[in-house]
Amino acid sequence: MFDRKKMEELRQQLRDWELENRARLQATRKPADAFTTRSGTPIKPVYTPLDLEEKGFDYAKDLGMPGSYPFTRGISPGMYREQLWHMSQYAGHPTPEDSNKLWKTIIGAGGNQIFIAFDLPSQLGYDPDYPEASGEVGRVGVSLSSLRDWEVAFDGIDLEKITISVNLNAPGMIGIATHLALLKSRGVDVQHMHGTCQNDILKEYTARGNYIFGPKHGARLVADCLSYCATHAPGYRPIQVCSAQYADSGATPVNDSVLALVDALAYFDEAVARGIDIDLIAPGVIFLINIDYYDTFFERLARLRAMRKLYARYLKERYGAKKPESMMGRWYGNEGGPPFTRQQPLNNIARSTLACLCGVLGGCQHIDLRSYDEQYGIPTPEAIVYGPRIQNIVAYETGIPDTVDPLGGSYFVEWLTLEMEKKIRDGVEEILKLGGAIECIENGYIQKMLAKDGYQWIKDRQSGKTPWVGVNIFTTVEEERPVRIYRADPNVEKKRIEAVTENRKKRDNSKVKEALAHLKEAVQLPPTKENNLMEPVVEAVQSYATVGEICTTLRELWGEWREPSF
Amino acid sequence: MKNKKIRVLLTKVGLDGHNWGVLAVAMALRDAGMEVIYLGRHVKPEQIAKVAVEEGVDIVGLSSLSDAHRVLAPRVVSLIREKGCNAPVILGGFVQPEDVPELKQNGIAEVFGIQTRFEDIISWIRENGGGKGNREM
Repeated sequence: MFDRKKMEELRQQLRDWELENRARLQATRKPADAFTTRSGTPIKPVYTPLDLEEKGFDYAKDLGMPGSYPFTRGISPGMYREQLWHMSQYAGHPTPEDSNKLWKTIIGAGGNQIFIAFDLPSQLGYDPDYPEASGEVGRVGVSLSSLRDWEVAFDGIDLEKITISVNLNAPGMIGIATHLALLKSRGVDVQHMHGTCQNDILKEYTARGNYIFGPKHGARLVADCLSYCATHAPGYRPIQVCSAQYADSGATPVNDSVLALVDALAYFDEAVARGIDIDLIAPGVIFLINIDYYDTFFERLARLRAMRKLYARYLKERYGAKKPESMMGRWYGNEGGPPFTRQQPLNNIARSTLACLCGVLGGCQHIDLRSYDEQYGIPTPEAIVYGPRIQNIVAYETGIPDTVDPLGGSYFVEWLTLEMEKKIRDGVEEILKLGGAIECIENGYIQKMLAKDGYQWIKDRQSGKTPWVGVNIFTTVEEERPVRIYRADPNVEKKRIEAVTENRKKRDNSKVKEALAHLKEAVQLPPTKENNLMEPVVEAVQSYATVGEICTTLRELWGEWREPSF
Repeated sequence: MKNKKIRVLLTKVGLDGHNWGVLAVAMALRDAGMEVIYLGRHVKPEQIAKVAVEEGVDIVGLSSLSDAHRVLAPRVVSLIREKGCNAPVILGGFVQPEDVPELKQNGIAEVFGIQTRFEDIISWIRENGGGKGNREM
């Protein structure tokens, strides 16, 4: 690839150019050390084949063809020429009825995947009438406590056309089971069930905070979901391994990648230790990966490519995966929103557009953007429609999706991809040396890493080191606010308590009792290939047992996790 | 001899798990020479009140991004007052500006928003935190 004579000529040419333009290259508009990526990689003014030669770049080894190992250029040969990405929208209003209306609005605006935003009691295994739920019901998303609520929430929505992503983690298994039960009740063959569940408990202990049980029980539930779905719903992705929430806690692109990868390895280790075949479960894995462009667009973009390559290598080399589907890094590109501002809120639409571009250029299979009014509260329907609309503009008006991996071969992007690969691999190996993800959660190592990055992120914005339009540059004196801000109905808690009470009255309570007893029995037996907790949880959900009842059963046996101090 | 450092209790309240902000504030207060006790996540008002009294803190700082603070923050204030602790209770996180007057009426001494500068929190605590609680200045 690199002809020696030609490279020598190029080296000379570059030297001459640098000499000739020395003064101008040094007279930069910001200090020389400010040309650095967020993860700390210095960026030069220009890249040439010399930079790739120096890194030992090899087309076949480092890139390969799209759809082929190591999938750097994408996981399918034709990428968006075959199929556009799924246009997802994270959304939920307080009650199942409110959410039904909101989701139909999103579908009407061109969205084709509903990413359910739950309220905190639903995410932490409390029903609306539990004391712990007081003040929290329906505040940050929809309150769904049983299959009954799901029936109402998805009424009139065609679940063979619209896919569901379930943002549950600690009770992720219950979310999958309820999704399955809903499809079954509609006569859908779940062998063809699509969708995803977040179900990535490990990042909850550090970045996101919605944990119930300890990491070892959490990993058991995840491994059960993976192995159950591989057989019963092979089109379903029962876990989104998340880098996104690490980024949303301020982690650098290198660190959020490292943490997501070590989490994925921890789940695989758990499953493999139980004798589960890696090629059975790995195709069920998708990553929720951050596409916010801050503070450096190309670093985020290069990371999407580097991570695909690294992930494929780990699957092949560490686990001996054989199926290509096991080694494919599938990306659910997520704009987390930390760069969003209250000031000049419509600017956030421009930020989302750039995030979308980052996701598309990086080959994501799903994209989910934030709503421009999210710095003011739960999105209003008027604002949330711009999520799918921005995606449709990028998809249909620009021609960007017509070429696979259009930035492949850019000297800069390839150089940065190699750089990111190295830094991420070093970070992963470091944590593995320290005992892996679970160990590093239990001893507070990961928490410290995030706190350090997060503190720096904020300090750099407060000091003005990181420019931020509307906040520390180009500020306006007059406050600009969205036309309307969403506020939840103050009676929502009461309404939801009534709904869950009615469910408890109407269902056959002897069936609920029986199902919960089966669950209790299975939990007390060791996890094996045969003793999978999905079976009793599906039974419980179908009997209209509530999230609170199922989680209480587990809490009684497993207790609750307390954060280590760090 | 009494510890001269201002003692601040920082904690999440309720079910909200977002801790980026509160951890950053904890680090900023430590860098400013204060002593910070951080209780972590999923902490109930009763637990907060208990620690506030036992540790004799000068300031109680709550972090919430879930809106539940409208119910839970006033609960913390009344619980710690019942126990005879007069430390000011401050709130940070995602708070709707129109909720601030009601929160203040219910005993929240100050509310800091998502883009508050560390230095503003630090100087507020220095002005209002020393000696109003359990500790003599």
